[in-house]
Amino acid sequence: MKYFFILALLSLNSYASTGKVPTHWMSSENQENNFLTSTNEAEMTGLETAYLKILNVNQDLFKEISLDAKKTWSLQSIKTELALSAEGTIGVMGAGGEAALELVWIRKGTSNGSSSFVENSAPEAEEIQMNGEMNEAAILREITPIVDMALSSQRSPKRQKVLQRLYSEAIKFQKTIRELESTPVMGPWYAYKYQLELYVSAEGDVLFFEVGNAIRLRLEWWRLKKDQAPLIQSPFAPTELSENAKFIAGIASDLEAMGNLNFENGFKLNCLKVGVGSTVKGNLLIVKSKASATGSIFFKRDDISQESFALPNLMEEVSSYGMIENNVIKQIPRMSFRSGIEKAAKIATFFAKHAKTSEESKFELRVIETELELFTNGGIGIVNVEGSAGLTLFATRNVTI
Amino acid sequence: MSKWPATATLFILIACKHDSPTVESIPVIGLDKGGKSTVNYIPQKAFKRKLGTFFAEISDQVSTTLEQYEPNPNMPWTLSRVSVGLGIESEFEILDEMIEAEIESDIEFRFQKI
Repeated sequence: MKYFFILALLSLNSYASTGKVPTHWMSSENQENNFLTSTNEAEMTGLETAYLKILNVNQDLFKEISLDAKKTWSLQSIKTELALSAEGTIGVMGAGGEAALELVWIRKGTSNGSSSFVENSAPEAEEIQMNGEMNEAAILREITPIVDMALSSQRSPKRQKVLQRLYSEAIKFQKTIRELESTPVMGPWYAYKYQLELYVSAEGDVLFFEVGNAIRLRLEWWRLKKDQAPLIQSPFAPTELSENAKFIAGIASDLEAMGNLNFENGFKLNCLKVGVGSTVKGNLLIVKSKASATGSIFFKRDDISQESFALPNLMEEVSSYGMIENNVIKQIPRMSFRSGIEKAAKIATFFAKHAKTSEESKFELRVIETELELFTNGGIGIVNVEGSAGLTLFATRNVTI
Repeated sequence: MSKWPATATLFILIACKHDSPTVESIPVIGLDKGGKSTVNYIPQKAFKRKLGTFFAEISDQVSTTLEQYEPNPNMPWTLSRVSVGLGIESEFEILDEMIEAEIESDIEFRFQKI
């Protein structure tokens, strides 16, 4: 779980206890009814006090930070990482995990200086922006300077080889993003970003996995919203959709199932990151573990009215999703995935519930990332430190993603 | 956009640890060398004092240094974002009652085309 505090802090009373999350939060069991209230009351009280204590301690660490509005640079956010042990004990991330704390400064007046929250999925990568309309010359114009810059730090004579192989991957990537661009937006959720991670080896090979001293590149696509065009389009007939379009439309429809969930403190669920891989034919699959993901698709929620709109959900066309686990493709039942997403959202409400603000504070909790594990039966649980998340759910307030 | 990460060992946190939760302890969840989860309970006061002091110092130092940075108008790139991550890289138990934690930082610079 990651928490982002942005300018103005939450103030919480000091409690002192440790606690564990209910066992079924981490399991493949998708309990649909009375999810939070059916858990043991004493267990929930212990969890709440432990969670509040950790938040409070973190904020004590922020008190000494000076914020000077006159400076050219501003402290944009502080990220703290919490973790669960295998038994479900909640705590601060320690050895073997990601950074327990991260501070981000931005230069005022740059595009990075906007109030938007930028999810930092994989640092240390050079980004190559792609879209479905780019021709060969445009693709080469985009990748060539990145390749030159990436290779400038190494004495690599492999420029032409890297360019050719990267171009080949860019063409495959473009085929997929054309499918994403043609996927009808059938409701408030839609795929708005697709990233593909690539690695250039010292030999000039372009790989999907990291090898020693590889240069990291990222192909990236964003769905651009056109000002004049309505977000909702008339749905295409399911038979007109490609397999990838069905995959995307199916997940977007599943996300809508948690649309009416009541969040406290102004939080909203508005982004889901799905780790993906693909078959030899290029069909997208969910990955069990983000460590084996070659790419990520980000789904975003827009606040739009859909009362008069009949939403096709492709239930007949998409009954399961492919998932890669240990290099084996398995089919997970879509209905289980759908109820698993709902369970995950309910878990997120717990963490948002306690994110209160205080006028005298400098920082406010605005983004909660909940990392989730997808099980073979379609169940979804919150990941513990031994596991690996394939899905990440974002709840935010007062900030856009 | 371009980024160069840097890693450095910054300081070592040494504190008494508890084997079980107490009223004033912070659980620190980690992984041992075998990939199994570990839980150490560090007294809240020690956690806040040692990390808080360091946290404020590094924040001031980065902020002061950034204010001194002047973009070169002849260069097509300019520094636009700096992030400093603080992580516990390793933990060692000492005499069964103390814990020594090595804190490291990752620094990432992002440059933006002008």
